Amino acid sequence: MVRYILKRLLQTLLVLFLVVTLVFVLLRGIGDPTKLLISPEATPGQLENLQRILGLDQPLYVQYFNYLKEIITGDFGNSFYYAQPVIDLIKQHLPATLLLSGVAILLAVPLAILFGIIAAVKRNSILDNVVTTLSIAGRSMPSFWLGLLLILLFSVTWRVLPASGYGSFKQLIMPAITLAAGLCASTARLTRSSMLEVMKQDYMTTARAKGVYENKVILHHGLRNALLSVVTMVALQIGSLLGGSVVVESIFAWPGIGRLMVSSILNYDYPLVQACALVMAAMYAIINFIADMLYTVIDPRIRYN
Amino acid sequence: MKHRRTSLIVLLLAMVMACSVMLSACSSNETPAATDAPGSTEVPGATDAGNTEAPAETSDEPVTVVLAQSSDPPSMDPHRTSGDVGANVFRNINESLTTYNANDELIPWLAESWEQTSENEWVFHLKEGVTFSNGNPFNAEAVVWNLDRGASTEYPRQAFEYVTYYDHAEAVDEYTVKIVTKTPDNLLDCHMCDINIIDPIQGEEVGEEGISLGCIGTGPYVLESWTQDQQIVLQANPNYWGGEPEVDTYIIKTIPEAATRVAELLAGTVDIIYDVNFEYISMLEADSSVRVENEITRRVYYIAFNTCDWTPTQALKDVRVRQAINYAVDKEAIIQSIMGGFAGNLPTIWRKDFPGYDESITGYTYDPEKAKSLLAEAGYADGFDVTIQCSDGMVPKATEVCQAVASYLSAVGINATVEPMELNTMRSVIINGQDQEKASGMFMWSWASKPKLCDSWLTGIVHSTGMSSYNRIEGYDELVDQILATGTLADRDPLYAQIQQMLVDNPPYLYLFQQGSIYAMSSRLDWSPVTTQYILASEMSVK
Amino acid sequence: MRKLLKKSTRTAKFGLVIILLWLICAIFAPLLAPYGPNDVDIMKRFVPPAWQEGGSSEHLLGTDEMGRDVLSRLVYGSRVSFVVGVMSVVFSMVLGTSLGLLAGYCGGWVDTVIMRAVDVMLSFPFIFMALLLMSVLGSSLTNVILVLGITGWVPYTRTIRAQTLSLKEREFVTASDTSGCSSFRIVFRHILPNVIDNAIILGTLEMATAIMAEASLTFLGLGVPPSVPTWGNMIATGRQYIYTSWWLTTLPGIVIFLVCLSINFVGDWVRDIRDPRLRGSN
Repeated sequence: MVRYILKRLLQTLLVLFLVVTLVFVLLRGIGDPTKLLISPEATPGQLENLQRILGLDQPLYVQYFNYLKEIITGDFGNSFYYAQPVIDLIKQHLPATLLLSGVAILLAVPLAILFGIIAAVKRNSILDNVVTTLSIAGRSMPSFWLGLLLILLFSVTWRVLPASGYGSFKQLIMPAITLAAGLCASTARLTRSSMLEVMKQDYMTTARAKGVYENKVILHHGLRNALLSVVTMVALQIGSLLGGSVVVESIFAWPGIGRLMVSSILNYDYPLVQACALVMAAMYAIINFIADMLYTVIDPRIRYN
Repeated sequence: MKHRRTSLIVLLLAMVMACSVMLSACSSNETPAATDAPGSTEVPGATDAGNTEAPAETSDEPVTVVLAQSSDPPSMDPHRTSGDVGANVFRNINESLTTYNANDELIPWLAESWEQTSENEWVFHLKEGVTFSNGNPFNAEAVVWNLDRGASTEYPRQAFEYVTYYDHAEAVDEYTVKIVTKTPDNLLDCHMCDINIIDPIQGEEVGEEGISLGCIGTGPYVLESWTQDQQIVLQANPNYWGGEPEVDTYIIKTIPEAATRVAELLAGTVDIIYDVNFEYISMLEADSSVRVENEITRRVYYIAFNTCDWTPTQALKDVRVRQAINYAVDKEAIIQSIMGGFAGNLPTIWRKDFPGYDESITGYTYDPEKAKSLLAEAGYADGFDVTIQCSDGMVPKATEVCQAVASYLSAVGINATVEPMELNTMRSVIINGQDQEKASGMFMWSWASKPKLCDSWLTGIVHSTGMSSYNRIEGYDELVDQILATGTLADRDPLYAQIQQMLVDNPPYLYLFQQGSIYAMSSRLDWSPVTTQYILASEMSVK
Repeated sequence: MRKLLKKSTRTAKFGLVIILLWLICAIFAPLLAPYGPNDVDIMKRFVPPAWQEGGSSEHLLGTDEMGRDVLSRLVYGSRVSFVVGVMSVVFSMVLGTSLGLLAGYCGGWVDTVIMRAVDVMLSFPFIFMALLLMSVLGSSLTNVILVLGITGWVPYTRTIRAQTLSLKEREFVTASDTSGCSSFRIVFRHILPNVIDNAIILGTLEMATAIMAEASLTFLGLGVPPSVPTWGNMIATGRQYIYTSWWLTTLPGIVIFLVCLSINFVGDWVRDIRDPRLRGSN
């Protein structure tokens, strides 16, 4: 077990390293950030000065090694645009995204599992058709459009919910629903098909033949296998959940890390973009790790060595 | 079994770690500057969406006013950050030596009087008895420190105009500052309006980074807290030398979506919004809790012709082509339809408040037939292709205006493609980008300056060495050099007349209009916007 | 063919009809649209749809902020969405399948490298990657297709690799040449036809994702330039006017929704048909 954990750790470090390098290379292709940090009326001398201050006048490989050195010591540098340490900016914005994603998952997953099970058990009934169609519909709706629709309905027409902002529960509702919709849809569908697969298995018929109660059979065996797939899917979707939050955060003015990321790319704010990428990759690795551990809890037959 | 237990433990540990990270991050969701503004969106008296009536405030209760802007300033350092978004915050916390009043006249602020004692020397007499909000004295030493800091080459700074001329400053006595320039600057007093004075003692203590998180000024408000990307809370300064302002708490919220800002204004959670699209006016005017006002700003929009040697559209080098383009576009129609009438029709880029504004120059009329004949004369009867770059981030509705222009151009045979860009991309292409040659044949740009000051236009966009100038038309450089070399404003008048005529006869730009800005505010607010374009809470009161 | 149609569910039929409509719009756009997609008329901005007050039968679905006819733009927009959907999917499919085959068949360090690349791609949200790439490359239709293609290969690789692994075990023990990849040209001829099924099914479903992705990128400002009429563009520019002109955001959204829905219905149906385990079940 310990060896497995170590192996995972090494793998994660490697991936993080690759992510940092990839982002670093891509960023240099974007353009010159100094022009954006200075007003149009500045002189060429002031421009060069700024480049020197930001360390951008040095050759690429020097900048790269300096950056690596700094990261290892925990210094992620200062944002070009905000003049603050990048770490502080991320710390300020991360909670909002975590909150939103967390609530979205809490909303989406239990509902999805429930619907998925019902749909599987009552296969081909009207209930099943409704759930299936709804879940396909959920997957086909662009999240930003859903968000705009919700705003149109609840803020403009009926004026019951605030259209944006962060801090109160009412402001959380629409963004969370928007984000949860897609996740709920895919998860429900997946639960359903996993359950169906499981229900056909031979050992299920064996269990039934032995006279075990239908419900127990379903819950015990079916659910467990379904959960395995669900856990995989949610873990995989974390990436797109964080990504989906970019658009949702834009529409609802939610001050999360998705928005920070977009604006940092648009501002050519190298240190911030790099740090965001690293944070995202790290979060993803942690979630995956938790998912793998969840596997062993759900199904004790799965072992790691 | 053992495996299961181990994995359970590992799982639990991981979850505990994740949760604690989340929780700790949640609770530390503030900047070190201050306490959390309680439930940031709670404005005393404002109710949730659905109730558009703002209750009346009594004089005993704290008065709060909320402004909504499209973004946060990137930092709280007024020497570093340019732009309106920052100025609307800083000008409440800090003050400068001089400023402009509603009639565009330069008036004293932190300086009581001043004179230009010689070609390269100015003396400013400071107001006495003023302190920074933390009690530290405002004096000549403080001003010298600020001027030096503003001219620093060690850190990024705004492009202050005075820096081009600045040599050094001295504190002659406690309230007198002598500023020495390298070359004569006749407008130094106007340039002093740009630089906000911050407390040097606190500045030295917290350093460059600390100032970005919050500075101390002499103004009517103090920074209480800054929740990044959400809001900035200012509290009235009880020790303000001009008397404590009426509005006790001034909150500046960040709401990126224009439509959302309007919604929040109507809901009563926000009191002021600006840069409103005129399409909202009917909706806003229908609501009695809201009032709409508009101002013509000091920013002028134009579409520049790229007349550099390498320009992708060589046709633009012919003066007849450029004249034709000016004839081909119906400016007035664009102003009326796209800008809703909220823009100023100018014959050229020469603003009415500029020295030597010539009333007799009327500029171009809308004459597509003349445009076609000019094009034919120049040999382009079949038209040509041109790209117009623009950015909505720089100029609201830039894309729409350019698309309208493109459709007018196509009516005379010119095939124009509009290329909208991200603000930052456009700035990086245009500003100082003449060598990179990425600018297209035409691009939409804008320029602004303080009242009556036209020099930065000449050096920035007219003269061929300007950072944003793609103008290589013969004759302009000599005339601009002549103007700049002429000492007194009076002597410049005939030259000003000459250049205005040149702007019409040999246009380096497709002339558009002067920007209008629409403000919408809660009816309970007793305040009107002023063309200095900074929104000052000290001027507000609540009915 | 008739047998297939008989087996189709109601949803699949619905989906096929919509997709057919979409194709017709894409191919015959100039014939079907009453106006050009870029016919600007600044005097006729924000005309509401015909059934609303102020609307007229001249513009059935109203006009946008430049006076362009919404219906025409929707029709022309189908072209772009079609091109984006098909081409980016073809790109990712080819890229992803090849990588999956390589990883599955060769194994060893080739597999490790490719799987690490998969990990990297999955480590941060597609939007992030796409935004970065679009920043570097610049806004254009070709670049959007390129970027969507480059960021979309992962689902194919994983599926194809898994399938290749199992196929490899099953059938080619005798042909297994221990020098690894030297016989892969021959094997390509045998494994490929088996995996291509899966790839195509995945591809059809990914088309919906690609269309939505283009719309999201454009919405964030780094997608297709506004001169090209796409549904995503229409929503992006219409969003500022959501309070005064609801039809600018709602209508294109409905269209995207219907098209993606139909693709998903048909894709699911195709997969259900091809999957032997689910065939003939109760």
